[in-house]
Amino acid sequence: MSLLAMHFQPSYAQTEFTEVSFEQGNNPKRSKYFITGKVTQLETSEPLAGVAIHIDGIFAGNNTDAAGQYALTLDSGKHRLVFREFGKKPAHYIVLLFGDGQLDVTLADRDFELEVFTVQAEERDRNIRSPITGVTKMNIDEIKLVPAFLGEADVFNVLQSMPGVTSVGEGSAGMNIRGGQADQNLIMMNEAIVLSNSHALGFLSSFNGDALQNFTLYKGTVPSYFGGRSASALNIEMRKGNRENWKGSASLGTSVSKFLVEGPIVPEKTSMIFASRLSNANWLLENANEVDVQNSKINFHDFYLGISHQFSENNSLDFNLLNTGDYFRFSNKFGFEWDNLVGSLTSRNLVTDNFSLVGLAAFGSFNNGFFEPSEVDPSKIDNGLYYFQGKITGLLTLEKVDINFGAEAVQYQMRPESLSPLTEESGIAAQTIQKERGLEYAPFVSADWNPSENFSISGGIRYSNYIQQGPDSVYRYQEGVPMSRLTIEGVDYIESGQVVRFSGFEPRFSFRWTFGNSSSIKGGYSVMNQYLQTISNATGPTPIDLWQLSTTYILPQRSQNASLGYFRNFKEDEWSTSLEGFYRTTDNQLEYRDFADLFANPHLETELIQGKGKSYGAEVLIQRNSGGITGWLAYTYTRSLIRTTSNFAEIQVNQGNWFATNFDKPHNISLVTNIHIGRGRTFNTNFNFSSGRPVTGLTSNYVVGGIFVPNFGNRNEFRIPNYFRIDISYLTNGFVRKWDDKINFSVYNLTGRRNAYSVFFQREGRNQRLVPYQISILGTAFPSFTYTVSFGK
Amino acid sequence: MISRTKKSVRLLVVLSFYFFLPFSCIDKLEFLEDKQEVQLVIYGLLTDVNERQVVTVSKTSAIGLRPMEIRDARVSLLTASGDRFRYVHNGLGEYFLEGFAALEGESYAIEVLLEDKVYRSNYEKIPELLADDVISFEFNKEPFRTEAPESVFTVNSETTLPNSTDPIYLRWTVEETYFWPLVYLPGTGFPPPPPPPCFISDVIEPNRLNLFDGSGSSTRKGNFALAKRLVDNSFLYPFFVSVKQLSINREAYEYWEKIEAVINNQGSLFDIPPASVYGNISNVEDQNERVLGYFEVAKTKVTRIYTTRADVPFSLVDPCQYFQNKPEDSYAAECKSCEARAQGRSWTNDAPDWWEFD
Repeated sequence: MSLLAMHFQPSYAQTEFTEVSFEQGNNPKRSKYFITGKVTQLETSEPLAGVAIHIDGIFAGNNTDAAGQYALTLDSGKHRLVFREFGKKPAHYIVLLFGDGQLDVTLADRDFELEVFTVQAEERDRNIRSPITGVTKMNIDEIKLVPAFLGEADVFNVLQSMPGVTSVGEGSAGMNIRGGQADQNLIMMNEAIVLSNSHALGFLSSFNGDALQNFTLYKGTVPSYFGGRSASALNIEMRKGNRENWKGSASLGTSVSKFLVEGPIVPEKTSMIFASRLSNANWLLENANEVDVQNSKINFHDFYLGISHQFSENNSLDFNLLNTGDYFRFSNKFGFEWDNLVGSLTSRNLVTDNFSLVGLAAFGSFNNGFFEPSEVDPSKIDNGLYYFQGKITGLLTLEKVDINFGAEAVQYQMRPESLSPLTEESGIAAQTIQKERGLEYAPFVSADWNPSENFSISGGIRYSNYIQQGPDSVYRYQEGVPMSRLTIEGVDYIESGQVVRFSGFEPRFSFRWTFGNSSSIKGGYSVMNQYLQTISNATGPTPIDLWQLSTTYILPQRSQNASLGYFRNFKEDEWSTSLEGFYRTTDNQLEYRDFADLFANPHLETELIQGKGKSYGAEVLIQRNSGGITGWLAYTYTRSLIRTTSNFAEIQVNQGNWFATNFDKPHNISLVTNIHIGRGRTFNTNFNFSSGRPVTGLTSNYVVGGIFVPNFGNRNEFRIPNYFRIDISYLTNGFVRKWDDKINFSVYNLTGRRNAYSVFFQREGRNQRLVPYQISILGTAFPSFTYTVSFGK
Repeated sequence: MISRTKKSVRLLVVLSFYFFLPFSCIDKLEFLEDKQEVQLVIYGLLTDVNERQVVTVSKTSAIGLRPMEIRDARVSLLTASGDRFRYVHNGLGEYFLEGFAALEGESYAIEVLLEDKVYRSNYEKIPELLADDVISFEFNKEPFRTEAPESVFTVNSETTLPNSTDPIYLRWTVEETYFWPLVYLPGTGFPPPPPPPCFISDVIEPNRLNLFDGSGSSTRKGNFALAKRLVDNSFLYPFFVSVKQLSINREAYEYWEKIEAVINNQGSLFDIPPASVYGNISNVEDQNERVLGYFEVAKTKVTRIYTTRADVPFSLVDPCQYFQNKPEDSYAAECKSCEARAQGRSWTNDAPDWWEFD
């Protein structure tokens, strides 16, 4: 590397940025240059390992090595580099890069009594300068600061404290983003699709926080290189193993135990990381008051393995493997178990100075079982699917335009749904329903154009295609009457080839206009198609929901999303604020006929009804990025409505009028505070309030054949009481001075409030008449304690 | 740098904010009664047994209250061949057709005239198949309505479906009838006449639905508990159980499956969301009026078993044991009056025709 010229021109334009310029002299201009350097401790000149390097507001996984050294390849031009390390003052640089250069950096310790913390995942003005609206990004250091159930740093828990993200309630799997259904979110691990992604009835995500790098949620305009779902995309980046030293950690908690190890297989070339998590919560159940709970079992696990190999400076290959699973049995009444495996290979190749290729090949397998271990005829229902995903993305970087293009394909194969006896004595007759297979593929292209520093436009298009492939049995129904088992006229068996095909263009567009140094307006519009959805007639999404491909009768969902936001930062980005509005319509959103019978049903269309969905709302976020107390206040107003659109009045839900979906919770408030006490100690709180979700409520009762029967009103006509919860956590160093040990003490639902999940009734008196009550999933304060010891450097 | 005092105050404010928020909890729901609407409920069962056929006409009522009976309806049984039979009102919202048995091959419907509106059911035909029931009973200590073990009497059935390719849909109801002697107190006459015996009847577990259709069964056999009740002094004397097997149509069976889903809904994560259950009765002129209830026809078979005190493995106390010097007033009312003992259940002084035991 030749360092031709280098001079420093300190300036303090915004956040104490130091301006540095590297020029190349008379040699021909290149589109990319190298920048290298070493980061050391100011007071001791010791090299600092693991310092995060943020480039133009994005942390892309660049850290200093054990010797404190780093090497970057950047486009020519102006860049903002920030060097961050927890407990140290960050160093900010504006780099004018027109030649290779060396930049050595020193970081100083913080000297406040109350530790000053700085949001690290992004530049503090990232919310203003990022090109698209509705993006939430965070890294593990911030995730760990949000108190969570079982004391586990959890992506979903953090997301649900951010604006626009809610869930049906405690104990329901999945999230609802801007009024969308849980299955309308595309959830990925390093861009590989992950279908089942929560543990313990949805209290935890399947992603071990210790192995997690960061996440990015696109809830507004989803870029064209993501598709297949109609509401949002969440990409969770897992960590690469340390390439210099072996190290790891072991945690023992009251409910969860963890182990992590990482290090170089071939120094400087190949690294690995392995993280595991096992539940040990059964002792809690055994000490419960109720006999049924005492006889219940809950187990879950997740294993993550990541191997990264660097062939050369420009070529690398990553292998990721995630295995997660749950087992839950409620006394001898019912239970479920599922197992999920996702593996991916990702190659990253810098072909020329301004053109790179990323290839992804992934495999996923999901097995699902629901069992009833009753004394009489115990039975089990199994289903699942496996899929192959391939994706190639090219990135061409020109002077003012970045062009992203490629193609993605996913082949889905549903496993047969089978009903089988659980024991040899069971009289249940085995039964198997064949399920569908389908291919989804889409070419895509997008361009980010930055005509000036204050204005940018992103435009893209994705052409999604879906082919349902044989074999399949397509039922024929009488015309002029609703589809039902009674109106089946015949069945056509299609052995192979195309059963049905759908396709559609998906335009994506967003813009950013920045004015002043601290304000911007961003807007976007996108269209997305969805060919895979969950089928579940439970009150909320469950971990064992049946995945269902689009068929001749189950039409793909198609959404149109529009959003507009105003972003403003204050006090040199110490405070960032935003106000965003959104509106979404969805065609062919799924709804269920009354008493839909979904298990082992070969003609599911007779139990479903499709309709039109709409959601709209506004989000406010006020976030403090640095100081002794950081955190955010988020408020979301959102409505999520659906209207069935059948031609037949007898199967319309609520007479075809708009009604609230199960997750329509208009008001949501979250307040997260992190108090940095110093010496690595933080006290964190998480306050949550939301409107009660809609329920179908009892209106009266009557008697038929001597049986008292509850009579229910229109679907989702009522609401359960409002939801309110406070969580706290205290993170501190451990007891043993010589060890690198940490303690996490947390209390979930500090006030022990019995938040309602749903409405039910109990029979009382001699005549067993009906009295309505509410059920709470976790109606008590739930403390947890985790002790973690780290080893290695 | 922020001063230490300022930070301490800020910390205190934040902590106070959280710790002094009210602790609250919610149990019974009150909001549901705000939108109560009254709906018509018609239920009728017609069997092939020569017995009293009953139709009830009522209106829905607020949660926990008995439905409001309707006394001014005109109820008729219609046949597909054009016959019409009028039900007679008993004054309590029940309409009787005495001594009538449905015939195989005929289709029946009911018609209810109420306030110038005509409500009619679909025509239903009696199924042809019945299953074989082997009824047994057992006494156990087990949790029943509480977590603690209690003395429980259970009626079981081992049911074998007929060898036929035709589908069969079954429902069972279980009724108890027990003997209760009144205390023989000295009175007028020589010798004083003994008090008349009481035969007290009631449905066991009226809110339990027993349904079986053999679908999913590899053996065409089913073993299940049909009814449970606590063991009490009703078992001091002969105790009969009448198990009525009703073979019904598929639509009726699906109706009862929905009722079962509704009454068993416990609000759990995996419960099917509840909804109103509508049957096969509608307003002839206004299809938009939703009528609750069902009219079903059933091929019927009754199986009876009995138990005596000798079978009961638990100690039973006779509250009406006679003591020579015990004052008459000190005997409980149930020892002196069948009506007092029955407490609203049906009772008679005459033994039923089938009251025979070894």
